[in-house]
Amino acid sequence: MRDELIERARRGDRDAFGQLAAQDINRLHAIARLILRDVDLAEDAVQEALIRCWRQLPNLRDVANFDGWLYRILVRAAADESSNRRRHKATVASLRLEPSVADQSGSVADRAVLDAGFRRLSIEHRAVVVLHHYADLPLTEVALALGIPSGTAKSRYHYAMASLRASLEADARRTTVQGVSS
Amino acid sequence: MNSSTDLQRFVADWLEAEAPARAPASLLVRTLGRVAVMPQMRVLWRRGAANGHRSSRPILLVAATLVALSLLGGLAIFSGARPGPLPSPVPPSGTINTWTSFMTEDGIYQVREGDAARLVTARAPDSVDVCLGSGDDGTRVAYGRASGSQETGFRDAAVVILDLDSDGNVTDTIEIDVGGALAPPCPTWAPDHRSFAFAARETFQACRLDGGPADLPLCQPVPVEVWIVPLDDRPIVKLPERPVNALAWAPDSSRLAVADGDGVFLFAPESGEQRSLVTQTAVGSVVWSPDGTLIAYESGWTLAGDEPLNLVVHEIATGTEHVVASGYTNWGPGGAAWSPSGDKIASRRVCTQSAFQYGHPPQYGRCYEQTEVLLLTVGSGTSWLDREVSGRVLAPVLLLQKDGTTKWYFPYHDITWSLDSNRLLYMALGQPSVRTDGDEFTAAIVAVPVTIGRDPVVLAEWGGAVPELQ
Repeated sequence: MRDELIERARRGDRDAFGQLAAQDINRLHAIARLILRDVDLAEDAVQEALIRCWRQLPNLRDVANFDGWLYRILVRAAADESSNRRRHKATVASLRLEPSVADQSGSVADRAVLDAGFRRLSIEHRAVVVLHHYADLPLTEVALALGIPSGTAKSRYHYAMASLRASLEADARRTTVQGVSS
Repeated sequence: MNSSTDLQRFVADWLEAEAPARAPASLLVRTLGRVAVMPQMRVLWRRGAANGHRSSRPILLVAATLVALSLLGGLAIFSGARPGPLPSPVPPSGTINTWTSFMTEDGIYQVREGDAARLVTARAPDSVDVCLGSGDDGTRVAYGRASGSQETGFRDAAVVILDLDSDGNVTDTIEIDVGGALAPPCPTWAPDHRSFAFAARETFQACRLDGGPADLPLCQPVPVEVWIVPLDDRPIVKLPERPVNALAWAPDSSRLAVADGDGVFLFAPESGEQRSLVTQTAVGSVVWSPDGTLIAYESGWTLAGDEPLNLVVHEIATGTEHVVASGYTNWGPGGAAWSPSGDKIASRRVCTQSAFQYGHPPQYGRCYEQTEVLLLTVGSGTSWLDREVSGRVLAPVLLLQKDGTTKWYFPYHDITWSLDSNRLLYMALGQPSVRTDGDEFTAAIVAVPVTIGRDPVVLAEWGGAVPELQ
């Protein structure tokens, strides 16, 4: 059914494309939000990605590759949006939340630190992490989706994770030092 | 966080928690609304532009060639990527009797006398489109395009041909990928439509001539390659780097004239023959006579813009040269347009009047960005070259507005002719005749009859799209 929709959209059927977009937009939006960490940029990136998808769909050779191809377009659109807006965007300070209740996925403070560390990564590194851990793509498929060699995807992933770990550990050290000095 | 597995789980859980459950409903509506007016793009063939390799898909090549050969009439493409502010909006092209095509920052439009302008296609986001041309009957338009920007780098440089139905709807799109990270190519089409040429620039940086807007860097002559791209399976030909200013194909498509900082040289793609036609003078623009026996070029063109310009007609067979207009300066490169009938040459230049003539207050005393079009009435063959050529200013035009005020429409970009040679078409910068600070300029397409006493026509006019140059 989905392949048929893609095929119809590829031949210029706007209704079919509309149905496809409706199916995918929540997932695309979530991925864009996670990568860009910005509501407005994410919406612009999703819109841009879907428009590029529509325009370039006749050139998709294999319908089975649609999802990976669309991820690639989305990540490129996200990178463009980030780059385009960077010079216009004011710096927004992240609020550091104090933990108040136990949290199953780590403390709220840790999540804030993770968020800050994640923002320091490049869009390309964030994309690898999000596609791997949120979209559940193996790194080999992440590489295919992004159009990069598998080794590059693995390298980006390991760099990103090492960077996030370093952020968390640095924060832990700061907390310890503050605790000792106070 | 003791192990990498813990970190991975933590990151995965964090992403899951951070991900919004659903996109705003308005996002889908907005997106599909834009898709509704956006044509799809079909790449019939791609070229490895960097090495000029041949495509492995010969059937598609044939299809592309047939489509290209079926282009009706002359694609009146404006020549050469030039220094100066990004050409936006792009000047009109084509004819007035059917549809005249023009490009704004929003997209490509068509207009004809008596009809409102119609949108052909909206500009794609992240797309830089330049150098629009169209077929004589308005059913095909072509332009150069690249994604990205000067700041982020260009990619996917291509020449795009749109096929239109009688209502102006896009029925097919042909994309000819010139590859690499080139700036949007400004295609100069051979009249037989079997190939196009462009200056392969990697940047499209806005720059200023001497005296131009101070916030832009000064233009510098940059040597670039000229690429000649056939639409069949012949290889791309790349000419050695030169500081190219303009390109023009001979009417029989056999030779390409390249105007640059050293003069004009001719290149014949079929034979590979090269010939220097004009030397030891910087040439800003070049145009062929319809019979292919003459070229007209602007000599003395410099980036400083302060040298007197001559409009020179060169007899190709004998090398004899005739200065047909001279003594004025040109703030920016403009170029002449030879009428299809061959008996008229229009040349854009900085206005020769005092700015007061155009109602400007004293601080605008020096005629600066305002340009005028000089109409030279010549003749057929070369006999007219033996007499003094008469000229008169055809544009700008002063037109009465609905509110009773008057407005000047200054030629702003390159100029072109209607197919019947009876009217000059130009993209205009509209300025109130009584000018004050804070005036709102407009952009317009104006058709001016060459017959004295007949009224000019504003085919389309819109606001907000003309970059401020002062």
